[in-house]
Amino acid sequence: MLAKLAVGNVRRSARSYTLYFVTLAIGVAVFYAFNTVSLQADFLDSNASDMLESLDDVLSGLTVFLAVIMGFLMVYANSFLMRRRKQELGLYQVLGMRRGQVSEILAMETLLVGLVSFAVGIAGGVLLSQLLLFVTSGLFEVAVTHYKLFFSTDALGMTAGCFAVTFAVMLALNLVTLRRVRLVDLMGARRANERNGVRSLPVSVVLFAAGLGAVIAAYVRLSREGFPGFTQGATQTGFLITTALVVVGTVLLFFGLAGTVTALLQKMPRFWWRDLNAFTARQLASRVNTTCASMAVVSLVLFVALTSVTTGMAICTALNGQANRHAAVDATLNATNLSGDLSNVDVVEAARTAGVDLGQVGSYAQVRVRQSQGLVDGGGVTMQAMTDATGVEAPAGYEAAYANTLGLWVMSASDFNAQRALFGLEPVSLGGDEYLIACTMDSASDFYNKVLAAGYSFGGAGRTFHPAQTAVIDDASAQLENSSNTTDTGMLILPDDATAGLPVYDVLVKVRYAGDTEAGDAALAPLASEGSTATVGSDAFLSAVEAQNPDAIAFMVTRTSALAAGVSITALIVYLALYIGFVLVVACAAIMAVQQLSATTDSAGRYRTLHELGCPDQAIFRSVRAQSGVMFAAPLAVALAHSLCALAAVLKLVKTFGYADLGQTAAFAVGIFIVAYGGYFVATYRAEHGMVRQAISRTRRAL
Amino acid sequence: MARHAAGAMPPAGAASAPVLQVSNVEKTYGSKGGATRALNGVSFAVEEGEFTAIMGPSGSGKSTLLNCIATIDRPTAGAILVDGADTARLSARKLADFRREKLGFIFQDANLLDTLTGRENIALPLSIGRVPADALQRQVEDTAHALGVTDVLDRYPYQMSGGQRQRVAAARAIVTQPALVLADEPTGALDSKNTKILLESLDRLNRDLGSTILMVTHDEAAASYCRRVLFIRDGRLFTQIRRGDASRHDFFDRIMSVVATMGGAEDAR
Repeated sequence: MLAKLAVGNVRRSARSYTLYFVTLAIGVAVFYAFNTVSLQADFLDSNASDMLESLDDVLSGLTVFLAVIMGFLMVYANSFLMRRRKQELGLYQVLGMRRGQVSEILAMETLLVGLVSFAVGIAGGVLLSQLLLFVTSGLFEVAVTHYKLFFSTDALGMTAGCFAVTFAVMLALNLVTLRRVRLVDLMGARRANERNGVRSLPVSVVLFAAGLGAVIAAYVRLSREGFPGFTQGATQTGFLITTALVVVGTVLLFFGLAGTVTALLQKMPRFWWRDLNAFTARQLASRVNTTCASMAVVSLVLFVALTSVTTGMAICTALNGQANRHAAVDATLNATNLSGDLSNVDVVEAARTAGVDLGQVGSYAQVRVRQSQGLVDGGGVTMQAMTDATGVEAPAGYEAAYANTLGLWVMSASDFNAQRALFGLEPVSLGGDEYLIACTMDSASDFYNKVLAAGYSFGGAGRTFHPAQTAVIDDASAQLENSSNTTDTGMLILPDDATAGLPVYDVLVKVRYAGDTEAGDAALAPLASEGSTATVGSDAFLSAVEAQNPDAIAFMVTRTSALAAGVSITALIVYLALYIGFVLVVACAAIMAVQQLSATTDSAGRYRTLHELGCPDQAIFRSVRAQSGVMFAAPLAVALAHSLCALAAVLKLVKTFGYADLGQTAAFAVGIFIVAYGGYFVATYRAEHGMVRQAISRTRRAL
Repeated sequence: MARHAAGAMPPAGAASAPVLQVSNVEKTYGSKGGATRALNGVSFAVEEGEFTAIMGPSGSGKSTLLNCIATIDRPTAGAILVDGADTARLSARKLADFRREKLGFIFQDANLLDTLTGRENIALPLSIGRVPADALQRQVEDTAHALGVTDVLDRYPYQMSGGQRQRVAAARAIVTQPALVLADEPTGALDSKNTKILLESLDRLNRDLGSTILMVTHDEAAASYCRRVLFIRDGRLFTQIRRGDASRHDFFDRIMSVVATMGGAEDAR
């Protein structure tokens, strides 16, 4: 009997359960799919699967984070449903049902909805994880080797466990609510919130102004001071203050928003007294005022999601774009030491000692990279010196770069041309008092281009150097060692005679294979240490170099290993950013949806009154649409404003990693947002439309 | 002003058509098996400027009748003409315009929108009807003045007393100068003092502004403010009495005696 009642209840309130149900199912699906990531490794090439398994630890940490978010969301949605049901639960008790029995009905309902949404969620999760496998393979740039439909019992168990815990919490909360509330309150639950949502207009305007002030102050602080650890002079405390300002400002903004907008609109009688405008505005004011705290939270969470997705994608694009560029040659061998002078080191010879004749592997060029220390009076040629002389502002994040502390590296024109020949590039020509700059890091190149255009000159080696051309050399020859991302912050190319006395910090050999990549990598294997992504040379290679100069350390990086390292970083970042972003957006959208639906149910009587007063139905639906639209859009708009400001600052930093294309990455992030958030908005409006239609078509109860 | 007997069609060549003409209205709820006949052939007319009450015990069909007149419900048979227009022939779209322009509503629970101030509540029918802002504000002020609620115009419903709420609702009902004001148990939720104030306001609207008011009530004292009372029982018009030149007190006694007859007949069944 009780079970029948419970099933009937769920079926009857299917409409209000729909979004709750969908949210639960999406939560389960996302959670399950996320937990299958390590399993996906089995379907991929060995190299990629190694990396995925190494990601697994990070992923399991995130799993906890996900579980907490999803758990919170379910509990939140549930408590809203409970509020909706209070009157009904009171009625059962009035009819003489014992509390235990009502609890039983409630438990059965919760369980029923839970089990169905769990089953649907797992089914969705299995599909999602198949899809994810191909996304993963695309990210890792490897092929799916032996695909078959897979199912993870581990992930299932994990999901079931977390879901069970969440459900236990929900059930406990429901029962506590039931036990705590007095019958008279239960019956009156529907009338209780009628007086909410009215706040004095002047107070609202003051709050809004204060919030706006705080947010603007935070924007200014962020753009001026940047991030601690990256921008010079930015302190942890300063950043905390900025963060606090944004949070407090956002909250105040939403507390004052409704009143301020209402006050403004009332100043426009032609708008205010037309159609349902006054009604819509007052409804919105009441909604915003009763939910301003959660709107502020949603807005801040959306902000975090938006920035994490966009930043993640920007870093990813930056790294991906670089991978090929910064691993320009089949392999690089080098011996390096910052503090000594490695003039006597011959890496080709050391390789031969370690058992590899580079002449057999392919063509190669050995060049020397020097420091500019001692070239000019008082140290090296630094970015700071360039800024001082030309007034060109140095890019953010370069305060601690070698190009600023030690000065730019130096290479002789003949060395530079020797390795250019390896790429089939034209040699550069330099006059006796001319210089060039080579750099592959875009943000630094921008700076150098301006410096060169300004005609920057410096004295050294008994002459004054002038730029030989006004543009930086940024082709493949400008890259030193193979790397997954840029590390070279700039190098001067000087006439041979001017470089003679400068300390050699790096002896570099670039190798171009005669045969195919696989054969070349195999031939160089004796020089590489164990592990596919390590860059330090093998013991034999290390000791051969050490024998020549005890301070030098040997490295060997093939293009294959550089790309692999780059891909694993990229994949990790993309994975995390996308997942966090998606989960947060879904959570926010679901919270907004639940709130909208509950607000619409509360307002059903008002819509009926409007209908009875002779308001056309289209006007009523227009008002409902406007209300929901604004409620969904307001937190998103604030989050977007925050994000634009934060991203402007973040992108300055991302640029120091290399090239960053915001347009493309932002489009991707916005795409995800539109689908998830917009989808929820559409679903919410459809449900609201149904509820309002039902409310206005129902005849007034006859006396 | 011409007066006609209830239940009969107005005689041909009457000076003016009645504001409300109800002819043989029937209303059946439910399907064949368990059909309930709420109205069983009700006919009457209300002339312009009349203040009429409909009385009847619970379940007599008086609220169903009011809902049908209000175009919120549709009769199963018969015709209802308001200001010459047959409400059954109006499309859903026209119906909304019709309700707004021809009818005014006063409900038992005031039914003010709690998120709007008194002024905005009264203005609602005008703004829906796109009355220009300045004309709208003038009309709201005038109507509020007539009902003595000028001082609560900028308050929210929860800041008003029950009587003030009900008078604001009355102001909202008449602000568009509708052909017919329908009141459904307007005093049902009021104490005796506020009941008196509201009924006196309605009486004044009727006499000073010429508003035509049709009020459903089961309170004999409330009905005694009207000029005519229609009694409904079991979905039929039972009888009707007119106040004529009688004092309110005398009229009240006559109403009481009809109610007693009706109630007695019911008990005897």
